[in-house]
Amino acid sequence: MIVYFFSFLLTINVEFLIIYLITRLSWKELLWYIILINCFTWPLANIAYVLGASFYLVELAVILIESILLWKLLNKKYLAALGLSLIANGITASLSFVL
Amino acid sequence: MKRIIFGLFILVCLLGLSNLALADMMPGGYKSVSYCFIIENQKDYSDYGFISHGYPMGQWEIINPGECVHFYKYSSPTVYAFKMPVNNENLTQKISETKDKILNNESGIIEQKSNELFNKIKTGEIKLSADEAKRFKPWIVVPNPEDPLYEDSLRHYTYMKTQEDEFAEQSGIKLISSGLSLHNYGTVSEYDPLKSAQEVLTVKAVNDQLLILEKEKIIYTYEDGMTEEKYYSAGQTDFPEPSKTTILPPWTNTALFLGGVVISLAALVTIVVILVKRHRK
Repeated sequence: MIVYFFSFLLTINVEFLIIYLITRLSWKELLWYIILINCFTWPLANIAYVLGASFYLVELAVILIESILLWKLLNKKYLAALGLSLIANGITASLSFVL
Repeated sequence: MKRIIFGLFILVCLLGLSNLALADMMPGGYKSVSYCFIIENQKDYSDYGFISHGYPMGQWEIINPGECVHFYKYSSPTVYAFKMPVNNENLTQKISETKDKILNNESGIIEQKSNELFNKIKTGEIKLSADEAKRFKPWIVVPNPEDPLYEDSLRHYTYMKTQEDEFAEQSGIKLISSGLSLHNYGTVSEYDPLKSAQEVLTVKAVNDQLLILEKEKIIYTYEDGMTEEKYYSAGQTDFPEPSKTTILPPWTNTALFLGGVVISLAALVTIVVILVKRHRK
């Protein structure tokens, strides 16, 4: 179970770092948004895995949902938000294979 | 209205059937610990054969030296010894045929004889000797007819005794009971590191009248492959506690699942509130 919490915190940190480095938005506000977005998607994604959903399908759903939330919360163009979501989730998903 | 009632009836029937179907399944959050027993010094008593008979499922299993015996999870077997006949060429076949006959019980003779014995003991026509009561101690702890468990215990005893007598009569093999009732380890939380338990029994004495079989120790194997031996203290009947266990209860997964859903919903509500507030500005 500790692994789960570690993975959750790692996801938040990595996603925050990547999006912060790209956007250079206010870090406090951005961190708050990233925590909220991950609190929404991360438990549901894990439940979906446990219930037997495909890893790639779940990751795709997470990328799309997070792109919408980033688009609305960061006031960016949708394609930019989609790009941010794709990069951030692509890296965290890759990390899950490495770690 | 009739259709609704009929629909509800079907639904209730299906629910009832689903409960029946689930009765033999593992409840969520639990896992079963593989259990078997072995008679450690069986080879030292080569003049005797050993057999286990499970109640209430009625399985008879020949116990081979060095073999760890598994049995059905709800069964509660007793170990018996028998004097090995001089000519034991067809022994396995004979035992197998006899146990099949008793299990099939086509004539219903077991129930009939068991009921007769039950009534005779209950009315006092037959008195159980202290030794006989002791043999079935797990069921007749205190042979008190006023005890609500007395009838169940007595039925259990008479059923076992009748099967034992019938086995002896049909096979010509006299069984010597250890009176030791064994049972599976059961289930633990799915987070528990315990994987299997091997109970080690030791024959302390055996002759034509008596079999003294004792629980010596239990060997626990954990999920990580480590093993641990725990010895029984004198008179101990419960399993010795394994050293490794978990503080996570069986409902941990359900709690995590529900917790995850709650956190997710709370986060979504917060995001919506932020967006609505921003929109109003």
